[in-house]
Amino acid sequence: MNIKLRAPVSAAIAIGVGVVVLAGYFIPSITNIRFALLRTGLVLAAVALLVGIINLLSVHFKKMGSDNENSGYSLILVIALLLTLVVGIIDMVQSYMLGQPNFQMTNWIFTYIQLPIETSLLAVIAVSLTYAAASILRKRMDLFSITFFFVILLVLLGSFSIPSATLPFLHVIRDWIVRVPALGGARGLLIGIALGTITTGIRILMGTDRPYGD
Amino acid sequence: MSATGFTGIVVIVLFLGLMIFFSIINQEPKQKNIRPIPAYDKINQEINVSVEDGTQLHISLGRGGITGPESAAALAGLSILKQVIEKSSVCDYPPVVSTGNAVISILAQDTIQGTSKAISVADKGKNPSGELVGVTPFSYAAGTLTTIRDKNVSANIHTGWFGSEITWLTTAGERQSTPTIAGTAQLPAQAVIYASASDPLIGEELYAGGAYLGAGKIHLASISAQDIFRWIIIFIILGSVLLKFLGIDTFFEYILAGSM
Amino acid sequence: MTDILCPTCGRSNSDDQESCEFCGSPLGFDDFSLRNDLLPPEELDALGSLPPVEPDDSSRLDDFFQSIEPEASSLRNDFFPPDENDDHDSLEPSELHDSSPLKDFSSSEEIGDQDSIQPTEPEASSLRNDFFPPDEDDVRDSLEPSELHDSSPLKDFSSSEEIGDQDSIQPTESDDPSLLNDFFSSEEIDNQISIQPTEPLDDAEPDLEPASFSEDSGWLDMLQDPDSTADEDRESEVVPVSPPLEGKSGTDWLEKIKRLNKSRDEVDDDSSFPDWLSVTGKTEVGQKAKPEESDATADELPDWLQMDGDDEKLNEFLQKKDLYDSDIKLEDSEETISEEKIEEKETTQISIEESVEHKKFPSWAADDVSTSAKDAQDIPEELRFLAGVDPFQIEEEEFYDDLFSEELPSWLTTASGEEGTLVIEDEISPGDLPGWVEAMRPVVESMDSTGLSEDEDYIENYGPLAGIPSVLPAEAEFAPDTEHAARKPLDLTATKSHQEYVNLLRKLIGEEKKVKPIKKAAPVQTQRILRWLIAIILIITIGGTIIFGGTVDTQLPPEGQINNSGYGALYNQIDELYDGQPVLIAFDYQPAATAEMHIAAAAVVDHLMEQGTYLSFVSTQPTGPVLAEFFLTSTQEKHAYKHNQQYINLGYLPGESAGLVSFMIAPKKIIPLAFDGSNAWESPPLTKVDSIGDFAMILVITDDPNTAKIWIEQVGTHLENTPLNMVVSAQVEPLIQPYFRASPQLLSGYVSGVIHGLNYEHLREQPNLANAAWLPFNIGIFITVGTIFIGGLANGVFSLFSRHRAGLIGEIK
Repeated sequence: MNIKLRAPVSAAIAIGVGVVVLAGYFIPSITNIRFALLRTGLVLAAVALLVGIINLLSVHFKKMGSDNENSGYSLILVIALLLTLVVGIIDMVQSYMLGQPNFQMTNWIFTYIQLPIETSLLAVIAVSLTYAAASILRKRMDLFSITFFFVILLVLLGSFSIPSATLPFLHVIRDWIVRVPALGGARGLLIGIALGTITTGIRILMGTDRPYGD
Repeated sequence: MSATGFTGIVVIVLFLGLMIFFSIINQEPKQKNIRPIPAYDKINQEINVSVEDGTQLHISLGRGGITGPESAAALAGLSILKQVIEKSSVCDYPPVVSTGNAVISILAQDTIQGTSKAISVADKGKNPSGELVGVTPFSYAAGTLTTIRDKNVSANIHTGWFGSEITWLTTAGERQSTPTIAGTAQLPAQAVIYASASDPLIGEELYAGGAYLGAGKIHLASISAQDIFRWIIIFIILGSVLLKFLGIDTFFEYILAGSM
Repeated sequence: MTDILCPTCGRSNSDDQESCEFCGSPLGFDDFSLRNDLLPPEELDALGSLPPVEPDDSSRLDDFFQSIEPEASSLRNDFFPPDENDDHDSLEPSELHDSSPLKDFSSSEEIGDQDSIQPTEPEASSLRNDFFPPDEDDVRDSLEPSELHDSSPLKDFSSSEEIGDQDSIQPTESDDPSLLNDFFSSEEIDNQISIQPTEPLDDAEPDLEPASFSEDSGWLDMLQDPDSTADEDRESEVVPVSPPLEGKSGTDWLEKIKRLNKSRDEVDDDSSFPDWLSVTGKTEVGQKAKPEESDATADELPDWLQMDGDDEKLNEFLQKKDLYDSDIKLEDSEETISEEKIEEKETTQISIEESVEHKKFPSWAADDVSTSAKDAQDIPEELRFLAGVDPFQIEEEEFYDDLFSEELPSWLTTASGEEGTLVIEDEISPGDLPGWVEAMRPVVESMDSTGLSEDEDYIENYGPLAGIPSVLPAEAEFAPDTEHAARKPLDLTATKSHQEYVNLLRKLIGEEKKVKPIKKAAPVQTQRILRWLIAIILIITIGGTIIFGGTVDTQLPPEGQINNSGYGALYNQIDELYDGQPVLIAFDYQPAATAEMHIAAAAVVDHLMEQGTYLSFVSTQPTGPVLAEFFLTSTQEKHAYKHNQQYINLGYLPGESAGLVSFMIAPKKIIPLAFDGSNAWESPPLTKVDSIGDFAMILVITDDPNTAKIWIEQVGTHLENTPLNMVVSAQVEPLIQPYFRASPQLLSGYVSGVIHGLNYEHLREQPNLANAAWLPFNIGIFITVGTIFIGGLANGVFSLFSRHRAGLIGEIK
């Protein structure tokens, strides 16, 4: 069944729900309505995850069928996804039949496949960040970049705390940087982001921005 | 109603009024009145390049959903996506879109279809593709790398919610010698972007994409309203410091205690 | 014996008659040379080349005929009666080529002067192909001078002068074989061949100046190659031949008329004079030459030669639009119309005579008396057998009537009448312009509905679209007048600086023309090496330290620092918890951050378990529940906590902050079942929990500053007695620290990264993961700092050097 809501209807629903949830944040009397809408939203968000997984599968199925040079990776992804799904279902059935949790296979996949992979990826990020810090002066040789470069060095050295090789004043400098300039800058950025967030939300509530389609 | 709730309502109503006010008085918005942001100039430039070269743009919307504070960044990314699709409708190849969140993936596809329909892209094969690449940060980053390394991609636009994993995306773009325009609302990722992206969007610049890409006067009015509030906040901070210096801070402590 | 057609009624008369036996009109000027003298070649063209108005191809030609003829081939039948058309059609182009008699008809030196044929042919091959389709090439080539030198039959057919004068004929002959066949039946061709040797060939003026008739040649010139016309125009500018105001009006033909009148009898008596030429000539004489004997006046011009109202409008329009030189046109017209005026201008007549003497006429058309005898002797042997055959022997009276009375459109007469109508005048019976001719006249007012007609800056001068404004020109209107440019050097005083500017401009323009490939910035190999170098150094040093290194004895920070720190506050809070109190722990970090988060959180969770609290795990990340299980099995194995007994895993909480807010309000409704599907809230510690505020403590383990912020702002602000604490990654600390230091505190305590984890372990005096990871952590920091410093300096120096080099290059440029 293909249900298509016309733009005014979908926009009215989106705006109405948004206004109620926002008002419920400030007006306690409509908290229950807000809560009901939030619960509905949670279910939809969970379903959206399933829809996203299906989309992921369909996209990589298409890539497998084409002459894409990365079709091999798509094949691995699809196999891994289906295998994990089957293992999870088996674990759930076993837990239901045994009456106690039994997620050995799922934990094994997570512990020995996903966790090492993602940890290694984070380690690569460390290398990438180091490289980015080292090459920033090549990209932009200006006052801000030079400041950025030396602040990185000071904060890292301030974190270095092997007793025999630690310079005490570096800890003080690091703490000062973290508490004063970094915090002040972060606050300023967060205020700007908050203002941007408010205007974005208001535009959505006004219906001028409609990411839910026209 | 608590003080926080009251303050929130006042702020929102004020914002709404200012946005409507500025959108009314600025019937002919002039973009020259807003400060130049090189990253958005670069986006316009890269759209032109993609039209002439027959290449395509890659837009990654990050992994932020719509049910949290990161939703604003994700929605800002969607707004930029819409403008880019409209501007690049004459490209031989449509933009390719990657997301790391299921909800944003659905919204991205909805935006793509709606925008393509609005600009009458009759050839459905020319519609941009929006796909969910991965549901975790690193699976998303790893899946996006293949798109960045596509030889037909002439530029990468990362606007949305990213973590430190964005350094993969920016450095991959650098290795492909393709310009990278990146912006996110997460502070650690902004530091990474500043160090690794060719054209970073810092702070609230991410939310100004619609105004700089010609989404309409309401976006320009949003910027004007933000500027008004920015000055209000600056005066409040300076006033608070002055009051604290003078020792008259009990009143505000009482307000804060009530609201927070 | 040839017949002479009456120019008035068109009926044939015997050549010994001086006046028409039917209408009584004088039959003088029947010799062709006279007609040619009287009529400029373009006038002949106008008559002879009527069909090739659309000379593109045969189909277009057919269309043209269909369009201009109410009935098929009516015009053709007008020219050639039906009984002759059959013969015309039988003539194939190949026959023209292969007819050997024609080959030898003309001498080679005559052909050498055939350059005059060129102007009628488009120079561009494409245009030529348009005019002459491939299937017509044979015919066309036979008419081209170069081909005429070869075995082309028409090469021998005409002398150079003749062909030079055949401007009007060439398109006719070359347009379409069918058309050619229409004009020349095989029989008639034979007659031509047999007769032409008798034509005077040598008397045609060899030094014909095209400029003499190029001043305003009307629509026919428009059909010509614009370049050639332009050349003619230039010549006319250089050598002012025809301007009547200068006394060189085109009245030399009057002198020739007088001269030829004297020899008319000789011409008529000349048995060698071809009848077909006389017929053809009479055709034109009928139009133009014949009335010359009488005192023709403009009022007596036939309708088809007179300008009707529309034509006058067209004329006015063209004058208005500077389509031609109005002064000259008007005066020419006046001269041609008024003979008296012409006679009064003897000086002008002389000059025109001189100019006409330069005109070249085809030998077969140039009926010059003085050359007839000689030409008679010049008949090749091969052609003598053809003697006596009369080509174009047309006897039907209707032919001439149709041809000269009505069928010629007024636009044709308008164009031709400007120069040659002087001699036509009253002898020609007026006729009504047929409607189909009316319809095909050039329309002055553009019918373009697209709005392009408003742009009347350009008016087509050539071709069938002549006179129509807003026509896109096929070629550039203005050809560079290099000849004039050479004659008139610019009087510019260019200084050295000017010359430098000129050179600079030339250089700039020249550089602009060069195709500059877009330089795509190649990935810098040295940077890739740097990346690999960084990775290798970090892996070796940190891995080596982990494998071979030990632990480092660290010291507890000063007490004041501990009391003011987040880990100290957290330690004190946990230390106050007791057995069975419910504690909510949120595992909101990514699997990638497991290492850091485990190091930071291991001591904290261990402390909670030692206190005997009942742990409830929840996660806003899909992988959180599994991470919680993994955390317990990997770091807290010694406690052997059992699910539903000491802890419960509530699983994944979807909806991020919205889900968190909902969970804060009604946790039992949001997550009714545990991770394993059991009832989550049946455990004794949780039976009293109705909201999130009923937990004894909330501990959030996250690596995401946004997640930490969500917990603080969405949950922490609604907590009254429940402390909110966090174990966060080091990158999150700057963002949560303000909440910890705020008053009132939104964050009760926190542990940040490896450093705080180690300090927490020091507080508990139980070394754990942080103590084990401390040395590799510090070695990693040291190596990273060194790498960044060295790499950054190297890149900085490289950047400065590049800038300096770029600056030098810029200065050099």
